[in-house]
Amino acid sequence: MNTDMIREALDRQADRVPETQRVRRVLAARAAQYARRRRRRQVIAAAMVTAAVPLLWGLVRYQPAGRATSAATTVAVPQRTIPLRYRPAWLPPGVHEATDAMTIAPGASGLSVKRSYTRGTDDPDYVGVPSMTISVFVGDDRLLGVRQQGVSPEPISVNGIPGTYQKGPDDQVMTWLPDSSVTIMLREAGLGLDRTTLLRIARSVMPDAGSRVMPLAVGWWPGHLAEGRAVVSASGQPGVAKIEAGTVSVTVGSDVDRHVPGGGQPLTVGGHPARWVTVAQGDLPLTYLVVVLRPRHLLVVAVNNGFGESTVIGQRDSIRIAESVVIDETWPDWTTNG
Amino acid sequence: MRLEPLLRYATVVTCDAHLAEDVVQDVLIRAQGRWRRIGALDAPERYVQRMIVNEFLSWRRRRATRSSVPLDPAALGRIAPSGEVPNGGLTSGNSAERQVDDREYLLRLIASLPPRQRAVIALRYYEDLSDGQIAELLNCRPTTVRSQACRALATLRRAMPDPRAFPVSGGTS
Repeated sequence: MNTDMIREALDRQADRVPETQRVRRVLAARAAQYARRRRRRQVIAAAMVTAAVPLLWGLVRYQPAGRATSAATTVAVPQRTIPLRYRPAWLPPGVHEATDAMTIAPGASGLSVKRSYTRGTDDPDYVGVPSMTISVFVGDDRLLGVRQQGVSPEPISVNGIPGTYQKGPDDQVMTWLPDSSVTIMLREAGLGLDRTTLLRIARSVMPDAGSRVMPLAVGWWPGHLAEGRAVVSASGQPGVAKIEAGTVSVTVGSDVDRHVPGGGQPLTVGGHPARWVTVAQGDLPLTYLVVVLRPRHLLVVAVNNGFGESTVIGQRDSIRIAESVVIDETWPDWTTNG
Repeated sequence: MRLEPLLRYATVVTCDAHLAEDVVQDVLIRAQGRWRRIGALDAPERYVQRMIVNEFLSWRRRRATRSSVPLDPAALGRIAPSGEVPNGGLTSGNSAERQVDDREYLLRLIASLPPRQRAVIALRYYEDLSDGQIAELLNCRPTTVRSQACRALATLRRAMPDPRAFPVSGGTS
């Protein structure tokens, strides 16, 4: 007997994995139950807020943005801004900012912001597109910035602040903590920047008090989903805005269907021409609802039904999501590119 | 991210298929709400695995129930009852049966370890993680991992006495 026996015993235990399909079914039921419980809590919270609003009204004034447009209804878009927090004062020639993203999950313990940079025109939010990102993790989320891939970190100094440098097979990352509640992670993949250049960018990172306005709101999500992240294009880039909730993303803007396959089932959504595309990627069904809002402005509801496989979101839910979308008509990219 | 590898991981770490199912479901439901954030990490699967370990340990704290290891019916009649130490493993049956029974008995011993020790054993000998990696997962120091492993192996060694069994310095740091 030796440690090999332990390994054999644990291998035997691994063979007792519960039946996946059954777990998947139970998971769907539990996810729905969880969503119901969460809705009940929201109702109770809403009742408490209703009681508190008259007291707070004199102190806090809610400021909706301008007019809004929707495939189905027209309501005011609650103004949501992305605080940019930090920016690099120096970038290599040809590298420009493409998008800014923010965690918007309700109840998130912290708040993270990710600014993405690239050389070309491809969306750096997509896997495999050469990019550089500056992520700022705040509060309890700051440990999310710590890498876990088992590569030994090399110590670096970013303007006197100790940090780490890690180079993996596909990317390189510098991480440092400018103060006790913030972690900054600078990641480069595929842009061909060397360590010295990356360190120069890191040392140029400085606080940024600016913000970006999110011109998009989604009025309805399936019960088990909660908004997780908002993304909006950087200044001077083709206007794109996206909100993600779990496995679903809603994107509005020009030139947003580059990653959507052609064809599909023709539909009409909220009076607009649309198409429904289903793609089998391995055993992960991906679906896209593409709605033509204006000649150059599209709305895409993309669903990845693979993760967790708990609840499948079909055409009906996708249409309902699309019909609940409202867009701030004062969004400059909306008015100039339409 | 696929469901089956997560279930398999949890089944080994918890040493309890039913508990593993509960833990994985809870973790996935929570992870789904913030998947975009987790998915943006370089190793999201490691993050979810960490959630599973944490959920298992907290689950154990909340429920404070004893888990059981399902045993093959054929093995049930042959393994030593709880508290009874077999003489160098098992004494009946042919060699292959003995190996199976030894594994079953050992599995039951592992399942009876305190949760943290159980997780250390699973992560060290099934996942082949170093003590440093386990410490990161369990949010403790590598020395703590080594002491947990040491205690676990000592318990197993007492229950299955063999001078060659379970060297204490089996892990890496």
